[in-house]
Amino acid sequence: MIAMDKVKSGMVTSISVVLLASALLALTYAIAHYSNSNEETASRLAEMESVSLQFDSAAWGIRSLERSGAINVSAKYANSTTNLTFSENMSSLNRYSNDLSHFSDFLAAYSQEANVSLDISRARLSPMLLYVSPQNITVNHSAGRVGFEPQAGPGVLGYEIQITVPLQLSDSLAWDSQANGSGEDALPVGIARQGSNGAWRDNCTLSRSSNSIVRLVDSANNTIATMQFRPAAALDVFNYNLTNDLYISVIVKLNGSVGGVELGKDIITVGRGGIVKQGKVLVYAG
Amino acid sequence: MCASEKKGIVFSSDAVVAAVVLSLFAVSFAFLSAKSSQESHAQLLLKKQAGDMLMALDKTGGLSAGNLSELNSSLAQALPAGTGWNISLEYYNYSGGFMLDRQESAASGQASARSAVSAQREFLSLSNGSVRHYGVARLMVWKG
Repeated sequence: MIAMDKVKSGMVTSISVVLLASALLALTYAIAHYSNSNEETASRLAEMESVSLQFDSAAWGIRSLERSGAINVSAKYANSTTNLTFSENMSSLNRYSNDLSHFSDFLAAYSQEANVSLDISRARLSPMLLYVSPQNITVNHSAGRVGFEPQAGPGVLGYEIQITVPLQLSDSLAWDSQANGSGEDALPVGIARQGSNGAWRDNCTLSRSSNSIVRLVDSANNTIATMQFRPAAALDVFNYNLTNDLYISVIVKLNGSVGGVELGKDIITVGRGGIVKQGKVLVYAG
Repeated sequence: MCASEKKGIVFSSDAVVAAVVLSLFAVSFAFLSAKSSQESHAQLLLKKQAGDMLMALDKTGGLSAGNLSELNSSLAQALPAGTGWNISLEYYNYSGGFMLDRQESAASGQASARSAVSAQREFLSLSNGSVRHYGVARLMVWKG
């Protein structure tokens, strides 16, 4: 009976040792698995960080180029309306396009990681597009032209255009066609211009749904710029004076507040391994 | 086989199993410890700090200005105590291709090769609305 008890006790000890050993092995496996996943997470985070920094570098560079002279966007909100101002030297858009193209090449050649791919090609497409949200207005830039195109709804309440050019200007505007509007069709427009011989300003109420064309002319009656108002409150400004600086500031009066003005759509793509970051450059954040 | 011999075999088996398991456990523990000291989250944090520093220096105009004493002062203020650094700047002109115009570098001391990590940022130096230089900044940081 005593010998039988000893055998039972021995078996219990053996089973306990085996169970303890199994538990330790399982613990070792769990720790190894945890450590491995931690390592993978760290490596993944490092990759994400690298992609994020590269994206920021490209976005900041493009934004700096924008602000350095290509175009400056600002906004003032009051009484449920926003005055969104686009200021630029229309004669310097080509320089911006060249600088952007060189910056894109520079990033491709000198970016840190050999396997980081950048695609800012859409940023240098001509025309350069800006999107105003949530009013859904596109601002379209190309050499000698800037266009404001409301996509839908009465987002644009009016325009205020200011042109400065270092030339002798005529004291009056030359209207090729003028369609006045009233009531819901009214589009209030102010046109101010500054030349080397003085400053003038005209106010009018044009039709939102008809064409109107007005020219800014110099003292010899040569056309310096043309402003064309098209249906749905669209505006095109054409600059024929590419040899001189022509500073233009267009204040677009908008219904409600502006969420943001972005350059292109998803113009920067940075990829590394399986991680891809694609995004836009905000020129103005509301 | 007598009872005492059977008992001896059982005890020996238990001892062997225990020794094998203990050895496995010890080897795994040593391996994981060595691995964690080589690549820890501290390295990742240091790399992020280096990237953030370059971002801040770019956005405040420090990189485009290229004033080394100001850069050194900014790095000394912003990086945690006991962190060493080495910053190098390259400025390129564009003339049909990118030509190195000048190169600058500054360091707080000798890099510790074991823990050093680096970050890089490309930047623009602008003047009167046009690009003066296309630049590359490299910042190496380490725990002293």
